[in-house]
Amino acid sequence: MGNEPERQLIRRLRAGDDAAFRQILKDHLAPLTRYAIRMTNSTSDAEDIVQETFVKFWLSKDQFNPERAKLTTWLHRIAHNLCIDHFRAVRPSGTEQNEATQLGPENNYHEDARASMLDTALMQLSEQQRSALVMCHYQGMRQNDAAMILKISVDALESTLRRGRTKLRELLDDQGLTNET
Amino acid sequence: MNLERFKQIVESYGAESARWPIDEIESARLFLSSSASAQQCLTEAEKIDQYLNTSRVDPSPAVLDRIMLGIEAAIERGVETGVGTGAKAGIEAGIAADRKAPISTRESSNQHLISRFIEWLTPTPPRAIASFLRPTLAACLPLVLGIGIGMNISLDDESILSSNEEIQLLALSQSTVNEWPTEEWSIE
Repeated sequence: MGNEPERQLIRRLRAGDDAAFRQILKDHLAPLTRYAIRMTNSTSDAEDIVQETFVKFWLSKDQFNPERAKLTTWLHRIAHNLCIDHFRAVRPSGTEQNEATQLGPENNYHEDARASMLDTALMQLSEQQRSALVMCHYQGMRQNDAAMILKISVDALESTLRRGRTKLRELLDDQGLTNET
Repeated sequence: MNLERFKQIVESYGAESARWPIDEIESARLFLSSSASAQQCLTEAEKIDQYLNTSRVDPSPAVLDRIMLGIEAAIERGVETGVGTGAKAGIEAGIAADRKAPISTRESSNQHLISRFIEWLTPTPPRAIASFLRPTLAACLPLVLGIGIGMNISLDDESILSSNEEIQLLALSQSTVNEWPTEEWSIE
């Protein structure tokens, strides 16, 4: 499943090479943080989740089999499970703004307001729908990988995505957003 | 490929063919080029994609540094505790302690002093007001600097005379007395 450089990296990691772990952090920290922020809509919660994801990965590195899954899939699966645990422990308010977003000079109020409304709408989807949408749309994952992370079939993933996008469309329609363009 | 399957694909994965199932991309593209209904489905899906693309999440370097330091600290704690289950228990205890601690405490232990100062100076507000807050903060800096300097300038108290002292000195000064037009001041 994983490519050869990834397999070598895992071998080095298991052999106790700290540089290999740092390389994995460098490659996967930002994408996983984006995933966790989109899932929780909270930077501080995402920080905790991502930190715990890598620590859990470090602890279970001997169990990871690069022949069966990609590293990114494995890490996303840990992060997804931690997000679910987080939602069970604390119901998300869905109102906290995304602190981590860096705004460029090209941003304007209108765009920011729309993005903020979209983030709020995403938080109103079910955890499964949101996770499927985030993985397939934003994280660029293939269907098989996303389905593996969610522990569902590809058919089930497809219908989850369809329901999620339909609900999102309804929420955006309610706010009059989809008629703007 | 038929309209029903094409509709399922775009309603699930959106309008960008790169996101469609690999083994159906070609047939879906071919179908799209020959079907007006498929084109209509695609246009609908594009609208949702456009809105999904307005969400920009880009974790700041400070956030990533904080996470990195937290991971390293947690693993170091585990290594110090021992290996195997000992390490796991140590790390989990560390994470639990971190979670119980208020966020300000966690941040202070994790962040560099400079990045903490910069974050304090330019807080990350909700995106809608960020574009106004930062220029306002920047514009206020000279004002704050001026007030700071003004408050720190101490005037030399000894060089300042009270109004009474000034009058007394004027009265005693010979040159000043000589300059007065005495005739005008004389009482008749």
